[in-house]
Amino acid sequence: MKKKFLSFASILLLITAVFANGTEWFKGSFDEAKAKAAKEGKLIIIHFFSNG
Amino acid sequence: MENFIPFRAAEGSEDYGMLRSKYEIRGLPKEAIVDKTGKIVDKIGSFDSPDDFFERVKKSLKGTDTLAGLQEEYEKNPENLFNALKLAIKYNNIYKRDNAVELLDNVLKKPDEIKSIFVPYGTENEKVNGYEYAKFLHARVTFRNRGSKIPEFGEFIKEFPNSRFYEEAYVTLANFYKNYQEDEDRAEEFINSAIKKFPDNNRLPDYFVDFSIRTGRNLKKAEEITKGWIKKNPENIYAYRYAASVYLKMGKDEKAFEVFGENFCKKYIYSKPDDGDKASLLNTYAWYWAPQGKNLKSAEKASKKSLEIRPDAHAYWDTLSMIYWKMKNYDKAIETEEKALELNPNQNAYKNQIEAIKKDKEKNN
Repeated sequence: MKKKFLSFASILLLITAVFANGTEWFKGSFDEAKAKAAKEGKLIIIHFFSNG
Repeated sequence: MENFIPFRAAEGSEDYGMLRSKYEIRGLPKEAIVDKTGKIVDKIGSFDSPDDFFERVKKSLKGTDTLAGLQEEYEKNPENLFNALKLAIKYNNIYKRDNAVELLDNVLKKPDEIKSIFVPYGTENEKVNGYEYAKFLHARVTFRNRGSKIPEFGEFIKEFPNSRFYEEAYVTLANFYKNYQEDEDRAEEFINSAIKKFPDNNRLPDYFVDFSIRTGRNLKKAEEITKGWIKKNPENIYAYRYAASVYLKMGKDEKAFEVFGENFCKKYIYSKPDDGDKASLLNTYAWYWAPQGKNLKSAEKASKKSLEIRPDAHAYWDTLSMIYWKMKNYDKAIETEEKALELNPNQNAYKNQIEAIKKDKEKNN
């Protein structure tokens, strides 16, 4: 928890790089994301992360 | 990414706790791919590059080796050892270790059958013997890097001296021995043998230094190793931190402060622009000294600066609380730990720390 090592920072930078190219995060609840996925025939990719 | 809806589950957000529990997410950051009903399609563990990540995502779209697909295949035919082993590999990759162990135990009950199977490993055309891989994987998922019991890797390196996994098994065992307390002579001998066998392996010097700091053995050599790290990469905070630990073990506190103290901060951290990376480095520095109760004024300064940049980081408030606690400034310690708790209300460690500080305050007043 407390130990924010550079390896974690590297992974975080990597995630940022992966999603960096204009990725628009869904704004809404998870239930709303599922509804959109059903409507558009898409899968949902859930990105779990911590700020701390 | 156009075939996906990207959904961010940040710690503390509304859906976070429910989703993390539902999809059994351990370790962050992590990705889960689900369909429109919320059913899991795949989980993505650690990966080496954005290319690896997108390869994994593409495979998930095709349904290739996804968690759901492999589980379905296994349920249809649990006697198929090839499928069982692939599912075990998947479980290992997404940290479902108990599930992986259970499958591997079953696979290894039929050694003659699994020895005749080859599974993909590494590049597209590479394969590895199923028995060898199952043994290696079983050793890996059951590995604990501390304790009194020698890990299965000890048996693996004897049984498979020519295995492609030999080096990894040997080096992982060295990782265990750096913490091994039952027989320090044996631990030292093994770590030295690993360094001799694999002189280019860059994890082994870390283990040597860790062992040295813990036991007080070979501190001069550990000092030389850390000096080499600093010379090779003068901006690597961890090299300086390791060097400080070696000096503290030698009883040379002043040298530790010299190499990883206020002057280090001025030269390598304070001069950086105020961003998340700088805040992280400042917190790493402060957190190193805080539990030791040394160099606290410098640690306090760094910690406060980290919070100036990142006032939302609960872990950084926790660091500052520890510093105040060590300074015996109990009221401020409680106040800052309460701030950490306010930002992360589910963190029991913060609650426990507040209670511990209160008890300490009572005892000392």
